[in-house]
Amino acid sequence: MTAISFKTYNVPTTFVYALIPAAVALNVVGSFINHTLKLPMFLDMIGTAVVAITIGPWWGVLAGIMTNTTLGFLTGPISLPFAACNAIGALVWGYGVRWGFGKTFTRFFLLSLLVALAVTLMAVPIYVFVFGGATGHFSDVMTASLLGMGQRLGVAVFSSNIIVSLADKIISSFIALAVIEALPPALTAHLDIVKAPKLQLVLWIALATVLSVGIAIFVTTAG
Amino acid sequence: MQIVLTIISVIVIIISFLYMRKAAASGAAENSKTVGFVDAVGWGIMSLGVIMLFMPWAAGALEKLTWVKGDQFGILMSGSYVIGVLVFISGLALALTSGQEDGE
Repeated sequence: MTAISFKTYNVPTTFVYALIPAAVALNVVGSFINHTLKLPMFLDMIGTAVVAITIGPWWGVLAGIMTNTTLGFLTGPISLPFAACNAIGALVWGYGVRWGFGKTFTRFFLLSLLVALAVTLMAVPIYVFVFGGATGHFSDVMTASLLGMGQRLGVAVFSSNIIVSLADKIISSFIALAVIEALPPALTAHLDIVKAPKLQLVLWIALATVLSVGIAIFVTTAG
Repeated sequence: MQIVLTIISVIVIIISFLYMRKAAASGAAENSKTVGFVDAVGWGIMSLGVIMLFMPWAAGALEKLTWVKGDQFGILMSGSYVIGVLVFISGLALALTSGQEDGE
């Protein structure tokens, strides 16, 4: 199967009206879990990934922006400027899969890393210019430690954010892959994407990532 | 409030998935109107506009947070800048594909 063009794929409105609210709700639930358990992640882009991969990057942008607007009214206005990050993530996920980054397990993993990098590059200016480096998120601890070690604000924010973002986007990508598997075949038949790996493998990757983040946090805070 | 919203979100997810499965199985989805890339960009720009409408309120609320270093104007200006970047990208995507119809 050749890579599909985003310009030639038209999606039935029935699926758009059902999938986008579901994606926003999925993001809200993920964000709530993250907020409640105080995890060193975000988990607010799983639905965005599902929409961007399934029906197109620009629909993913819409889902991402709607998510952050909703969260802005519920958890505080901090999430409003970060709508840009959600949108950039949707574009990279959507176009990445359409350019063949979803064909194999390795490529899809690489795509997750690319999304993490793109989102971090978008997030750093927001952290630095809008919030002055801190938003009350868990990663602020790492930023403060790096600042204490003499790093510049931009470097400290980038370093702490990329660690958290890598863990978050890898987990989000593979959860999204599992969700896509559960969607009706009519919605996913056009996709040239790897089948969801066995849940056990996903769990091992998630565990390894969480452990890596834990070690990184321990090392930076101890330093 | 958050727990109520989360419960509502879970219900929305379940209903949406069941609806999609039913629509796919019955063939209703195939008979419905289709939308393409240009519609998506249009809706995306509109949602960015909605965020812009709320940015003055957000800047005022953010200024009151103790850990935010910055005044209301700085927050508003920076927020407008990052959203402006996305509007630019969206406009560029539309301009590059002008004259091409969806489904061709």
